[in-house]
Amino acid sequence: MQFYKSDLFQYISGSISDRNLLEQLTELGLEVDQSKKEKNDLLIKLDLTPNRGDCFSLIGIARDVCAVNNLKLKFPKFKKQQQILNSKKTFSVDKSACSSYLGQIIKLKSKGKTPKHIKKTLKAADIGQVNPIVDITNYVMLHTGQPLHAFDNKKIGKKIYVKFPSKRKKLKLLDGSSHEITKDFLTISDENGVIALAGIMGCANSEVDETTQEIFLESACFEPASIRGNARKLGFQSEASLRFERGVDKQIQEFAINFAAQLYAETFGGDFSKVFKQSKNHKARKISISKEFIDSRLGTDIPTAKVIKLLKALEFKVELKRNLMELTCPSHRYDIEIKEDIIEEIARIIGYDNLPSKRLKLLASSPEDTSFEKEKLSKDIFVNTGFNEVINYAFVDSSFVQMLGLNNDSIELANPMSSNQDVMRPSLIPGLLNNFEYNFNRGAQKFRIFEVGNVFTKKESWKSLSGLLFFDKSSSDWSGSFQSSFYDLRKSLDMFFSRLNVEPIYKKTSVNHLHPGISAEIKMKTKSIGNIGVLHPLIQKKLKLPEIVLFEINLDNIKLPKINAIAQPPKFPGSERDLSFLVSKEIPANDFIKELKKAGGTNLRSVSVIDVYQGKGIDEFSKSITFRLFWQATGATLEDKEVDQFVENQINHAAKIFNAKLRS
Amino acid sequence: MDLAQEKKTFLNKFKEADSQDSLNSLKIKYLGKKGILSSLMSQLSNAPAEKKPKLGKSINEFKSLIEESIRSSLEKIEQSALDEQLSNEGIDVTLPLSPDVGSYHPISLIANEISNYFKNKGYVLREGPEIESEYFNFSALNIPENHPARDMHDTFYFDNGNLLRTHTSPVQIRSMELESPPLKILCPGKVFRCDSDQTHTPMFHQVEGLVVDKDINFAHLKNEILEFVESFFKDNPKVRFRPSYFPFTEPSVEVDIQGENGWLEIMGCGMVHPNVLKNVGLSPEVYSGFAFGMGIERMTMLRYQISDIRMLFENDLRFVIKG
Repeated sequence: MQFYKSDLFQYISGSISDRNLLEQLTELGLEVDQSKKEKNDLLIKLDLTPNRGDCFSLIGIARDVCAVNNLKLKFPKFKKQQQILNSKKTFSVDKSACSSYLGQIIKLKSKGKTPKHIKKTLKAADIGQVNPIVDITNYVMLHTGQPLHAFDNKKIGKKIYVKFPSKRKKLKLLDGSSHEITKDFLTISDENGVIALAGIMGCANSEVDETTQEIFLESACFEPASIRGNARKLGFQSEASLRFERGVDKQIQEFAINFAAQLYAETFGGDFSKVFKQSKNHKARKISISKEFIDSRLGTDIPTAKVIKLLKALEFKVELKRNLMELTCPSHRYDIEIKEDIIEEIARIIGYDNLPSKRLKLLASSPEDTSFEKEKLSKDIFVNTGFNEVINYAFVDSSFVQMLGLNNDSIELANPMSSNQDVMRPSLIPGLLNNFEYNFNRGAQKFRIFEVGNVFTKKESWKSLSGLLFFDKSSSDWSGSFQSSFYDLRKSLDMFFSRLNVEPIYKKTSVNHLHPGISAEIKMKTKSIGNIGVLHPLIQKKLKLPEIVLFEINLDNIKLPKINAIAQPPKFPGSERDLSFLVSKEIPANDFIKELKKAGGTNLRSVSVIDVYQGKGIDEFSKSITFRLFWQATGATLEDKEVDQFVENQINHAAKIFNAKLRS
Repeated sequence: MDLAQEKKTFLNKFKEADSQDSLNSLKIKYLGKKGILSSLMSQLSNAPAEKKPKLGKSINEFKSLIEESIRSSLEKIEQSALDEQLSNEGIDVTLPLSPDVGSYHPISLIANEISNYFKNKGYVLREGPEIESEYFNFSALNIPENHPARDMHDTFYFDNGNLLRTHTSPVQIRSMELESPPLKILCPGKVFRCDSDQTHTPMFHQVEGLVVDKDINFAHLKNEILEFVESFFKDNPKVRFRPSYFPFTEPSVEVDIQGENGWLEIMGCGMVHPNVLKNVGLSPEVYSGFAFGMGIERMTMLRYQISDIRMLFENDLRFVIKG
């Protein structure tokens, strides 16, 4: 809603400075979006909330300004035009959809011109000038909030129906657009068909223009429920639908038609028919509220007399019955339905900033969703190992997902913003690859990123953690410590698992988007929780990217660590042995360690790999792998011969299981 | 042998000794088994009884003198040798390093700060699904179909009628359906609206708080917000509460803070609408509550003086906030 201050003050007896007015409007909940000084006037643009349909009118805004300033509203009176025109019309109105339908036939005596002050008001409101007939309807609407519609009376029949059509209909609107409407569009029809979409827009077939000599002026109250959503279904919103959807004052139709009639008389001169009227009795809404309820919800102690005065200023009728205030709501406040709405009115007029504040002493406690802790722990660990967190949109390009061979089970959006954001991400990897590409093209030489977020397939959704690592070796500096490799990324992941006190295993795997030789499935017991590996060289080539390593795991499959007792470190010295084996290079180190542990007795504390060698001196199918084993007992010092026995067992076991030979 | 003479000779020789070797041989010459000290000791046994104590004392003093002088001299030499060695081992301590410094996304930092603040006030974190049903996102929150308030939310839909939540408010409903009052929860999370410009992205983050119990009132809401603003905005800006409209609160409030160029909107809040309470089976005559919600991007942009929200989702690593 956009208007001049001078137009608003036609209805207010008193004056308020520009600055105060702007502040007051916002503090009343009629937010000033913009204001601009123009000549001797102030142009004001309000950003209205959907509940305040009444303020899509100058009178409505003036009411609030008067109430908060204790000023009197100047409500104009119009005298009825002499009704000498004896034209006939009959009406059939669906009163459940249209509580009131008024109309008047006006024979225009001359060619009129839109008066200057009307032009100014329309321009302020950003409503284009059409012709004097239409301009007047719009002008009255801006003042009263009542949308009016003028039909060319020569183009319509004698019978007016306000009804829902019995079948789908095709029609052309005033703006030239064609539509097919369904049975839930309320229409204004005559004997020959639809002449207007009620509360939205008139049809082209009954349009007024410069040659129109006789109009049928409609001033109706359509119920919001019968209008709502219909304009949006057609893909637009009109000034009329905007108001009817929010609710128009049920008592203002006659005032508005008289207002317009006077303007037509002044502008064109005219002969007027009587005002035809079809309406349902308006029942004002009644609400009872007590002082106690008001105070309990606002945390206040407001004297009843003050509440009454304030509500009366807002045109509520108040009857005090014992402790209960019985209120009759003004017809223009369509939005007031319940006690809480009255409380808001009281708070609004007193001013939110003038109400008290008080510390809340409530402590409620129930366990927190563990996903937050897990997410935080994941972020902390990866940030502390040198990764940068990224956040990507949850929708990705389905063709990219397909190219990566990630998942063909992703959920499509019905109304994506663009074709490259058409499905919900089934994995965080497309996002991370985009981030890498973006930064690589801008010269990034070192890159470690990760993201935590939900991913989706048609069947389920889960919280995922994914990371990507890249290092341009040619840009290595003097310290040269950084190595881009599978193992570098795995080390970070291992640190993460170790902090969570879980020990997943890596198993060579083949997934579409990863290098078949340098990738692994990450498994917890028998369950696969993710994968890690070098991006598949073919994908890498297609994207024109260098070699990168990435992982992704399902966080929902990992539990937060349980709290365990801290074991006392053993007091007795331990023994360390190094063993080198010659074994087939296909044997994973992890499997070997598992078997060494089996044969190493309960006091075997750790097995680490200190060297892996393939090449000169060893046949091409084998590798040499050197383990460092450490034994320690809790109750006594281990004897050398005990350890010797374990070592012998291990050597025999490894020979049996892996055909491994001890190297001397 | 004359003790005084020997002492003099020793001191002269000691003065000349300037290496570890010469000091060690001096030590042997005087303190060794066949050294001068042991000959002096054998002289002592032949001395008259009345002179023995005094002579014995003098010999012992001489012995201490030798030991102490040689020890301290040797120490000095060792020290200077070590000093020389260490100074040769010196490195350039100024060579530049490039550590892999990780970073949190600024949105995470702010979300975390806000969550921690409210956690310390006794709020419990709650999470809800990002793909929601019409019921939780709209109907249960008193936003019926075709209501103009739905125009405030440009919603992403799926073919099965589900949608991407347009706000974190559905978590309120889910929490109230599961737990009974007193309730004090905080729901941070991703939300989605089809919109993109300098101040809008199709995905953004909100954090929403909800308190429900008996006797919760508007004054409590005001205080909760005032205290939060004081904690989050370090320079304690002026706060303005003004009427607004959300279908799920009544009264509804928009909160502004005074910025350099006028008021800045920071969050919406209000008293929980009685229809919302009824929708989860709570009587609005018995229970009341308040809810507040803010955009994390907005708070992030205010904190770090970012003018284009889209920057937050470019993930350009040259744009990283350390901290």
